[in-house]
Amino acid sequence: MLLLLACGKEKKQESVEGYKPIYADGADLKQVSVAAEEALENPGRVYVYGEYLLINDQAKGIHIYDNTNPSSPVEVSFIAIPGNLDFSVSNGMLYADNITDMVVVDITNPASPDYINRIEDVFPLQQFPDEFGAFECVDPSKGIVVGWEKTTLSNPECFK
Amino acid sequence: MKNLRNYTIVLVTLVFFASCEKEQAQGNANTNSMNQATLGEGGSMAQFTILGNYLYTVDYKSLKVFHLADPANPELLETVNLGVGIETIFPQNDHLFIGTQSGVRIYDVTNPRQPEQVSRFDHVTSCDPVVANDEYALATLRGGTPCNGNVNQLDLIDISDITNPTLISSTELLNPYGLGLAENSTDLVYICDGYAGVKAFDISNPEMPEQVMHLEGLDAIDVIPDTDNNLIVLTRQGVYQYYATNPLELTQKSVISVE
Repeated sequence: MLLLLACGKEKKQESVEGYKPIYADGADLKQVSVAAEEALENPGRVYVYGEYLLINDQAKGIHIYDNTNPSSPVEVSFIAIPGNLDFSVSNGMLYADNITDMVVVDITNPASPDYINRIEDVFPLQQFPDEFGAFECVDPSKGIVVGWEKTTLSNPECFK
Repeated sequence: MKNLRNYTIVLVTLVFFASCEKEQAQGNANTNSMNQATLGEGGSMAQFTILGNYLYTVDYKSLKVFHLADPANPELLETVNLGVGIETIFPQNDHLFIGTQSGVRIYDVTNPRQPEQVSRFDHVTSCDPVVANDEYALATLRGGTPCNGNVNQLDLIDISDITNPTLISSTELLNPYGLGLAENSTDLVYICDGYAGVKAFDISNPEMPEQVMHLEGLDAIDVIPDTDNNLIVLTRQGVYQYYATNPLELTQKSVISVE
């Protein structure tokens, strides 16, 4: 929280570019599920694994595309992981953050990912965006912050 | 899996031969040995990276080491507290380059269980991913608001003495995010300059990097110069792939659009 340096005494009545929290509520936070495909909303990371291209959709999960022909990538599955922001793959195993946990998903068959394990409480919660600037203050009554998205803010009160 | 493994071995073999021809070290740690054939490759904004049997992650305040000896059961071995403002991690040989809001920190992972800081390169507060090859580390600095200065630049840092990183040059940018060293040249780096699009710089004269390509109209965040001259660019509009056989003139292959 030392990071949160309010800098403007010069408060202006205007809209600024900034970030707002993406919230998720309690019950579903550890629910990892697989779908055939899902619309890409807010890409955060790209990753190349052999002939496959993996794209993290911020706070939502990971899309897997068959990229054998990069002129026409084809989505083969989507792994829904609440709060997911990053991941890495080795020997057919995908390691990804799920809020404060790590989950392990076997993608030996990328069209049919298999969620196999969870290591609990290994990552800290981050209550502010990566970026500098204005952000919408966190309201804990809305749930757990699982990510941040770019938006236009009017009269923001939190700054980093 | 078998198909995938075969494919990646072929791929890595090809890359291996290609790099023999050019007699150059790849900036990408993930293509430098056969035993990593089944390992993927992330972009410069990554906070997860795997070296051998170890997964390294950074969060905003720490570096963590997970052992993958049993691939289905990663074991958290070590948490190294790094303060605040930790952002990205990039592997190069036996080193991890960690981009932080106050600079670049270099860790030796010769003992993979116990990363040891060998040096750091401090700069003004900004957001900064970092990539490296054997000679240079390249970091982008992105300022945001007047609170933390408006520095937006590429720092090219000599790491031939890894214990003493030295700034060679700073090149002005507009809104830089991720960057990637070209697969087919040691002298070329692709930079995602945020709303200003994708740029390529010739760094053959490291004291004066020269912009040689500028692709506008994209809000570019990260880039992976993949094998076969395929360039993958992540933007806020979607994920684009380009022919980069001639890196000075990219030709779009496809886009996975944001909906």
